[in-house]
Amino acid sequence: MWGQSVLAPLADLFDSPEGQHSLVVLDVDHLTRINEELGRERGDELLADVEVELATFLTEATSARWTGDQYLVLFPHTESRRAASLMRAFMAHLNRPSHAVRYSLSGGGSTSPTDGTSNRELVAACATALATAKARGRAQVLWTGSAND
Amino acid sequence: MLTSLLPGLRQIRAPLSSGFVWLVALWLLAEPLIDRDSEVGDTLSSMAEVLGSASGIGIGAAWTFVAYLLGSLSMGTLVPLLRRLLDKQWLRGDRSSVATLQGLSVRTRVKLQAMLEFTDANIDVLIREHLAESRSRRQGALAWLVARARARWGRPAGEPEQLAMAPSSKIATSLTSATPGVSRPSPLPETESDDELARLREDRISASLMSELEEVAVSRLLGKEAELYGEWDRERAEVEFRLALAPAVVLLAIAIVVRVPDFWWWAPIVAALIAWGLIRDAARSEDLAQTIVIVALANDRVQSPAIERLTVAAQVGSRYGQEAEIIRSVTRTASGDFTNAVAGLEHLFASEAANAQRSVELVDVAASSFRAGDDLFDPVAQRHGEVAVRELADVAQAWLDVIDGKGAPTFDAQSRLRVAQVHHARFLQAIREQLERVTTTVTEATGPTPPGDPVPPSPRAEK
Repeated sequence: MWGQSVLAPLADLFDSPEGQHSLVVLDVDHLTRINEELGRERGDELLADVEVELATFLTEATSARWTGDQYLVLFPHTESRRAASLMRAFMAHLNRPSHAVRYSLSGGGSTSPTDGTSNRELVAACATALATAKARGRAQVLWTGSAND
Repeated sequence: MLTSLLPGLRQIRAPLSSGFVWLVALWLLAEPLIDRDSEVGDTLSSMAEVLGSASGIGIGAAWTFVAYLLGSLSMGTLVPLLRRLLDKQWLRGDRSSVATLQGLSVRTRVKLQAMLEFTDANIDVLIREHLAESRSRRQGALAWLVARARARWGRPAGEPEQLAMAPSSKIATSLTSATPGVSRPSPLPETESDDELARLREDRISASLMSELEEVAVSRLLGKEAELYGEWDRERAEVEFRLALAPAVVLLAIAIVVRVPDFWWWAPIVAALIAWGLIRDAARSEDLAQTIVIVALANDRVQSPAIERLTVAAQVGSRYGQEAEIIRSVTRTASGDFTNAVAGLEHLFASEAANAQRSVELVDVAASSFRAGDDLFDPVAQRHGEVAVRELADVAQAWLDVIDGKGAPTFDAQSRLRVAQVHHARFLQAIREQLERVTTTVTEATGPTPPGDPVPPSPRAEK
């Protein structure tokens, strides 16, 4: 909880203005419905599974569960295009049929200094992109800038 | 000098003139009945001798005194009766002055409605509580006169077309019930149309104005509009003079018939014609006197006590009513913003952490909404509001610290949200009590208000 393993390093990164850093906020789609249909225990297992998948697949990133069903992923010294590309690969990985419970994630990403120069600004930009991703049908990660292309 | 003497001369003219006529008539009737050899005859002879030894001026003064006594006696007894008859049967009401009065009533009604538009104060209650009801048959008859003039002539110039409709039976019933001997006004009947209700209100105002015309003349015109008061006083003196003479002339005619039987056929006719003419003239003068006061009222030369009472009550109702409405509005906004902010912060804990920035903004909005009521809220409500917002601000700040990477909150944020909600509930309770106090003030000023929504605001929930 609280995502400090991501947010504290992110704050430290802003101490040196050089380089680009990307942040992604992920949200599990339809978790409430999964909890209702499969039970809360399976829902909790799913949340733990997302944490493991993030840690094992995105080795260049630092990830952490934030609150509820949201996760933070920090790509230090990574420009938006590369971070977006890595996130698309991760989403494809989740779609493999080997997973016991099929689920999807929606996400919003932002990159400093284009989208902000502080934790608050990047988180706010991620929230906006996340809301857009949900509005467009979920199961996708959208970026604030041009990295969506 | 002469101007100040004239009212005094008018005062003695009516009793003196009528007194002389009474004296002559009574003498004609009584003189044949007096036995000069009786004690009464002796007494009268003695009195004649005493008068005979006096000068011509002395004799005149003595008879003048007796005439004045007789005239005063008749004015105290017969004139009030004749005035009642005059009001009931003879007053026609000058068309333009009744139209002017109606116009004044329309203006007053529109002004009151505008003042009370955004308040809980009820204009009908205000009219009922603050307008004098017809306290005599005369005043009741005057109220009836307004309605009758309206029915006969339709709307006054400038009055909206719909007011020209003939009075409905409900209005007629209401006006008749408000006439004689009723100490309190009958409740305004429920009407089917706003136009009828507006007209009913105007009729009530007209009736009250009519009933206060004499009071306006004596208490407002006198001193402020000396010239107008002089005119009014002159017309009223003419009324008194004619009403005082009429019964004396009738008695004189009877006396002539008794003393001179040859005149039996024409003396009563002449007397009746003279009396009729006098009363007719009295009615015309009374109409003129009323017109003078009505025009003075319509031109704002003087203010009617009825309109003053209504306006003051409406001002109080309007001020407190608007204050209550503003308090309700600000409370509703602040409470809604508070609820939104709590919902936003709760969502952060549950799942929507990414919307932290928006939730923090909602807290800022709630804080500024509460600040908007700083000068309006009762101190207790203000204190609870401040605590509620402060708790939210602490939780929001804790979230900003989380996002800034400064670590988890050092307190139980969820319980702080509960504390904020408790203070919000107490804030609402204090506002309800404040509004009840305001409502009491409005009620004291304008009369009881119909049941409405005395409490503020159910919190809105946008999220």
